[in-house]
Amino acid sequence: MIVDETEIPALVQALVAEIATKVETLADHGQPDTLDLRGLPLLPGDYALLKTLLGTGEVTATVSALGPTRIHETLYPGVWWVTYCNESEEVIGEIIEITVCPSLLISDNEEIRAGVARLRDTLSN
Amino acid sequence: MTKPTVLESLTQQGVSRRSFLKFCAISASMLALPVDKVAAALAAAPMPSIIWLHFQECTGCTESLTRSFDPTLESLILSRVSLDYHETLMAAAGDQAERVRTDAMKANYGKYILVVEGALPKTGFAAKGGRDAIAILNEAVAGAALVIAVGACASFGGLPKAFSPLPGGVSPSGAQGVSDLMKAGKVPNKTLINVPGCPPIPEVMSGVLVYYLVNKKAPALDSNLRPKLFYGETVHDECPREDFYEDGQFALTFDDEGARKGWCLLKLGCRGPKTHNACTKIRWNQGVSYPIRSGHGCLGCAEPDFWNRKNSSGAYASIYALVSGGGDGDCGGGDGGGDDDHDHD
Ligand code: SF4
Repeated sequence: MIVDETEIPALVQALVAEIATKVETLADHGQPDTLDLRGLPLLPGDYALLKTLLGTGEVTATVSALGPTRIHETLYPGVWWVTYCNESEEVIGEIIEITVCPSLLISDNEEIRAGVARLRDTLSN
Repeated sequence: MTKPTVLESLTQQGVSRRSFLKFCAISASMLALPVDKVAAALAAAPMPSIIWLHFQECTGCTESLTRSFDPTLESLILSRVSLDYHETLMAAAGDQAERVRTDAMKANYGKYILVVEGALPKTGFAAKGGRDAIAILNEAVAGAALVIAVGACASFGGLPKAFSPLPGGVSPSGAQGVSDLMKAGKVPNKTLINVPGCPPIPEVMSGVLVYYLVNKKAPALDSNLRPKLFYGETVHDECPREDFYEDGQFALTFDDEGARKGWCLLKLGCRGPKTHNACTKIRWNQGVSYPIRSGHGCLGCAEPDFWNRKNSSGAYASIYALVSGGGDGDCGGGDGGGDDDHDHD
């Protein structure tokens, strides 16, 4: 979506600039970062505009742990929009993760080991 | 024996890594801390040793924490895996229970977190194992690294401290909160955090603990020793009915047109403008609702002496004479402490 730059509120412009800097740091030094949307004084309009500006990219995922967490990569690789919901599907937290892959999507090594043991068990039963 | 870390304990309880990470992310957001810091600290921090004592109260705070739907991580961290002593949740009784408490205190002397639930009555009104409530508290506070007073009773005296509004009314048991006793020099002075509410929000109880585990110190407190993180704003500040308040649209009975349209509940006794708590932000029952959203005004349960209505006109009298045309403007001492008191004249 094309948004006339002069119409973008200063706070949203500042956020986009901050995200861009963080993405550069990720690309140059592999350093991930997060931006907590709940901690920002965003007006509902600012919030919607930021979401539209960043858009939705190729990856969308839902993680079911303590209620659903919806994750999508924005149009900008490395910029992920993460929405945490409770069991009643209400948003309880929202962050932008600047990373190659959100930590919630990565399988944990210990859990991988426990899983493989369970998998082998299915053969012996 | 070294204690397992918070992460190890949760894993042993069948909590998945992703649930742990989500819990860390939500806690971090609530506590305004970086997620990585919270996750790294909880993965490395040994499970704290918690000794939980009950005094004069209804046990509602423990209920609040343990009766949330599924075992939430709050309840897992606080009540299942780190409690070394909790009179309601343990199986032991009598001498055996007394021994569990003294052993747990000895093993973690100077390091344990003491959680106090309930007010402290004067001698003769509560005893355990033949010992006076204040003596038991005294002994437990002496070895604690941190004392957390949960609920209105432990924080400010609560219901047991309430007294008749008639002349000469006093609390029959002479109940006091932990801070009163510390101030009076009756128990040792230790870092004390008040987590008032009747009961407090479970996430606030666990949030305070997570903050302490991550930062190894208490969060910033207001003059009533409440964490500003959770009690920094009034319920009114974030109330969805605030526009109606501003426009002077008030429900006058619980079933009038205004009540049905979601108008402000001030004239029905709402204490939101004088009450510092996080109900509007965190809500109850895992984010489902809170009193004002369900149609009832705020009772002011996180403020000192909220059970006492000096104006004797009961819970539904408006706190502002100006708008109610009645009442005496008393708010049960509820305007102390926070930073954001509203002035509504
Ligand atoms: S007085 Fe109560 S109901 Fe009215 S706006 Fe304030 S908190 Fe909400």
